[in-house]
Amino acid sequence: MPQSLRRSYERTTWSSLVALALLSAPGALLAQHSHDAHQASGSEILIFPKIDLWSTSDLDTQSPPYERESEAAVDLFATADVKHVRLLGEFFVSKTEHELERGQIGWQFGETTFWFGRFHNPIGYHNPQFHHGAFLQTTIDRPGIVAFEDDGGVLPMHIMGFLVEGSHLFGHLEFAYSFAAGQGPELSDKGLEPFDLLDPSAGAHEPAFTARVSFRSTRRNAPELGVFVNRSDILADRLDVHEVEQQNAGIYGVWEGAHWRVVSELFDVRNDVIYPDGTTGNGDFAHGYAQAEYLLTDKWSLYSRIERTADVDNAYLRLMPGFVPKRELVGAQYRIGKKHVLKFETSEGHASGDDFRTGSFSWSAAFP
Amino acid sequence: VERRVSVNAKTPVLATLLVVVNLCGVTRAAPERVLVLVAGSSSTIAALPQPEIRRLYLGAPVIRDGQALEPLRNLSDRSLQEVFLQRVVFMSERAYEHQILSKVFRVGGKRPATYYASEELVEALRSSPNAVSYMWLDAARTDWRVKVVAELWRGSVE
Repeated sequence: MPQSLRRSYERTTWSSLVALALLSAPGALLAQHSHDAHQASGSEILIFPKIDLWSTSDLDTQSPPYERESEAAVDLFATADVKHVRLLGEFFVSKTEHELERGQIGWQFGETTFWFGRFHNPIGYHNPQFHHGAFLQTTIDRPGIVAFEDDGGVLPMHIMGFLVEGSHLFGHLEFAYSFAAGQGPELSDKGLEPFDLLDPSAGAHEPAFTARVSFRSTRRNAPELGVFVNRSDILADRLDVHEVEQQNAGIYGVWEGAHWRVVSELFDVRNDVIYPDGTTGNGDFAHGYAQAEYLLTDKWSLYSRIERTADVDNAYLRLMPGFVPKRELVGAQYRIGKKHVLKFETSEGHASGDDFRTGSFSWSAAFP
Repeated sequence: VERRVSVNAKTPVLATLLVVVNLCGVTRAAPERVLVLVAGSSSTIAALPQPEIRRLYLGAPVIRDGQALEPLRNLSDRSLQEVFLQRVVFMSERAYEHQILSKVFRVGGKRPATYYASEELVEALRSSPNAVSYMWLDAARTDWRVKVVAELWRGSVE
């Protein structure tokens, strides 16, 4: 058996075993605590399946759709509490990839949880809020700035290490906080590659730090406002770059009424791209997006999003051809009962010098 | 002129009718109901401010005497559930279900346990000293197994 095939086979087997372990752990805990109804319900297993269909056409050549694709995927999630210890695992499987998205063990101390493992980087609002929970997020596509590392992402979406998070109420004002420190991604020819729990020895991962705080009044329709900073040293496993020193900061806001919601995030990203000869390239840029959602009826909602990037032509983004710096998107969502959602979306975007239009359809669900 | 006199003659009758209709309306208006937060009768949980109750039902840990409180949902009465979500949590049922699912997916833990039968809910409250739930005051007063922790809302239910 060729070495690469063997490695892939071993990785798949190992992944399947870990996924099985993740799903069976809460079941075992249930059995262990079956004498106590309240303890027994201290775990959850959630399954988020989805099917996406999309076609993309090049707006510059006005050619007919040149790319029709589909993806079926399942995100398996399990969590369990045993006294003050909390376990959390998430495994993502699709036709093209399988990845242990999160594997965390935490200690709950009052309103604060101390985590160790691989977790979603609490950078901004969208990434920790939705991630692979397609059913939970309004749109089909994620904003370009928080695209997954293997999908043209330019910021670290996962960190392996320590995370402290919690919230506290001061009168009517809720203050939430997240502090993360660990190993960030590596930069390869394929883009950013986060620490792989199933292949821990792969790649070289340097330190990454993130801090996020947010405020929200507990009164009706009060907005949530947050600020965040991140610092990542990203070693490169490629011939043209040695390392990227990345620092970014941003703000976000979520405003909502009875029938509408607006989410917006702004990122100021500073990159020093260090080349093998020791010279440095400037990779600074700024990105912002705003997304508006309107609940038309009990079942239908409409949404729209605009994404813009300033200073696109820079040393860092030239290394990231998959990044979508500019996009306009409109869509509609139709809910079937409590567990199914259909989404219809069309967008125009720009990446790697090409303008393109995408039409997408998605079914997603959450069980149980 | 004749016509005007005729209208005037009918005025006391109309007024009397209006009064009768009004009185009927008053007697048919929904009675005032009081929504309360309850715990098991042996529980030591003291009064909770409304913002804390909202946070608790949205999945945030709320600690009292070193113990995390456990929120239980009372789905035995449709109007009770609606009033609780609208007046205390400030959300529609759809938005609330989405919110608590999202919270569990993000930070782990579990969604509040749901009870469709009052008897099972009261038993759950009685067996767990850190559990709280909500019910109408008249139901809470007639059951010795629960105690009222806080008044959440007062008004008439359409």
